[in-house]
Amino acid sequence: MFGYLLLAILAFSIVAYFVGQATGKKFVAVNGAAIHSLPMYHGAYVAIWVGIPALILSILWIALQGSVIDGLLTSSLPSALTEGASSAQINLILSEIKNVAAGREFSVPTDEIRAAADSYLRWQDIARWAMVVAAISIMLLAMFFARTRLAPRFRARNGVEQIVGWMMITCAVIAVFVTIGIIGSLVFESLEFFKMVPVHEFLFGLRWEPQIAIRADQVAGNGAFGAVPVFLGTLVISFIAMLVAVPIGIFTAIYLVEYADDRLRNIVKPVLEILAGVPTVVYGFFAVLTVAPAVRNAGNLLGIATSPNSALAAGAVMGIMIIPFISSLSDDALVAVPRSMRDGSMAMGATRAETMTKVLLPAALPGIMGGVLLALSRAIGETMIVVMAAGLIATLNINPLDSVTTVTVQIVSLLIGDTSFDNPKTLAAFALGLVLFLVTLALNVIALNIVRRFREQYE
Amino acid sequence: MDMQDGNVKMTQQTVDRAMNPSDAIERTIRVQTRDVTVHYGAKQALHGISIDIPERAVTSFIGPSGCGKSTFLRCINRMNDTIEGAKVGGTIKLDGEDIYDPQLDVVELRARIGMVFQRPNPFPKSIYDNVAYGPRIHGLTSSKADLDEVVVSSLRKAGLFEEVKDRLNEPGTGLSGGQQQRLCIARAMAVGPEVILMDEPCSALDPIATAIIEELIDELRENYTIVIVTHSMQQAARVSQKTAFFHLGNLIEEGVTEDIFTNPINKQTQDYIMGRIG
Repeated sequence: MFGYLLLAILAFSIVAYFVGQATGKKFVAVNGAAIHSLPMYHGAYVAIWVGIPALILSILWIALQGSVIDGLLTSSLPSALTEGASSAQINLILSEIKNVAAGREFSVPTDEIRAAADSYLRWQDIARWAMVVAAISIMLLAMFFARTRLAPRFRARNGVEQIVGWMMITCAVIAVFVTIGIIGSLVFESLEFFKMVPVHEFLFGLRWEPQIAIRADQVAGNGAFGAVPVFLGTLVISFIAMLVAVPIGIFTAIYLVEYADDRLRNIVKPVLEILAGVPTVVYGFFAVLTVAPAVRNAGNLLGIATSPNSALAAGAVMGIMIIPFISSLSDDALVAVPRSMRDGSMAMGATRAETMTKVLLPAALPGIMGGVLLALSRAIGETMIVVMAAGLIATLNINPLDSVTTVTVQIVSLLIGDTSFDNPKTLAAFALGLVLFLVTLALNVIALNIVRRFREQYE
Repeated sequence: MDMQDGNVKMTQQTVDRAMNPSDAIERTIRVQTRDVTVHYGAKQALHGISIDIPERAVTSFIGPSGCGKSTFLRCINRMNDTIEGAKVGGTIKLDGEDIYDPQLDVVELRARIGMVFQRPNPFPKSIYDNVAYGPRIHGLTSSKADLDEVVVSSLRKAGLFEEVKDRLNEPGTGLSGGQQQRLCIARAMAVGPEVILMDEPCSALDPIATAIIEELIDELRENYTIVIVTHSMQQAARVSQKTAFFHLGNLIEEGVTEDIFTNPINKQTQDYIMGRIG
């Protein structure tokens, strides 16, 4: 029903557009160039008046309809059912009514429930039709209203532009509110967690054994929520990733900017962009099936004990994943150094290498640093590769050949399987997520600040 | 063939003028170019430029925008090498040595021929490091004291030392436009070049800074061979002893500055000087 209504609103708006446009054309025919707005603006003005209020009305209707009908249902139930019942029990009754109404009967319902289900269905029907009628009448009213306002000197263009402006503000605000919502959900669940586990224990504890029993009959550990080993693991893997990505990325950028001819540059740049477009789960395969066995074999050949899911394998593949970040941001930073710097240095008799190390790199350093920090925050938050290739057990070690776990891996494993939101095991995931979010946010802010300051320097 | 004849005639003229006893530029020739052509890809930017650049004098190149004067200037220290697709033909000799000889080291060449650019381009480093850049990359000094000496004397020669002596460690980009340009001149002189090329060194400066740079150029003439590209005919008349007029990639006329401005032989030169082209 709602889908049809949306189609109807769309159709009405299109009709309204042509009505408005036709009126505008008539103005043009009569008044010539003296009209204020082009016919299309008259059309758009009427279309907006017809479409937007009806759309807002029907969305609000859908959003509120459920709770209004629930309220009606509750008050219509015989007092024997609702007397002294908690809101959770009432919710149970309501969902039973809705199940019955939808034809899903798990047990034979009582007569009261059956009667309530019937009235539920009836009210829903009424509400639906009322919505359609309300929307259509508001559209007709709006069309009439907007149409009467049109006149040769009517400022339809200004009106349309203003409304388009408001629509853009709405879009921007949606993104901001979603971000606030995400932060809010993280913070509230984390606060729940910190009621059960003290903050200092979480931040500074050295043991991470979160797999505690959710039900009384489960066999599990006693639980320890010291996040240090987990963050240490993230640090180790990110460090290995940066060790791989920073030199390769920066040297790639230097080569492409300063040494490569156009032909080669036109091949290498798109290939690097492909690297950036590979899904991380594919990098995960690569880490598990190719790199990890290779690292292990190499370790065995050298007689060094190597874990099958070593930090080295996961970190190295993650490093390959973030090469394009560093190379393309460094490339931009190097290209942004004015040509006059290069010329100045070359004219002094400096070689290309001297020009690069003594003039271009120092001048581009802030931009490169920004790129490195953005890549680092990407590495810290990366999930898929480490879920597939890193370990699960949190141990306090920094040996790259051993298995380590990361924050993101722990979040995934905490939220898989049995979850219960009054249990520290599940809530710990949110605390980890919050800390991770704060770390990457800080890195991003620093990186963007550095990049921006750098941009200002040469503009 | 006509072109060739034109060139021969032009050279003859120069010789005639040079024979004139009142001529101020009877000096050793430092840079000698013959039939220099430049192609950017398929487009020819210079058509056979032949000119002699005398020692310890200022030679100015004038002409409307896009006439090839800057391109020609950049041939003299092989800066056109850094432009992809640029091809230079003909011969350019510095003290009788072909600078496009494959045996020649371009790094050494550029140490002998300094360059100052249109817009001041100090490196984003301290004033000291800007001037010390050349001596450092060429390993000219053996001790910190030597380097200090070179930096101070270069800044003195560029007439900048008194203004910046208390802030040698501050960034060169913080100076005013005119000071930056003098810093770039000091930077170029720190490697001890014999020839200094200046590509419209005053076009980004205000009149006062321009006057200071022009005075400086006049002083530097005592010890250096200077080639300056300029948009301003007044500037060419003020600072140079020899002037060459370029138009559409051709060298139209060259000679003693005074003669070019008071008594040009070629019609196009006349038109340009009277302000009818360009």
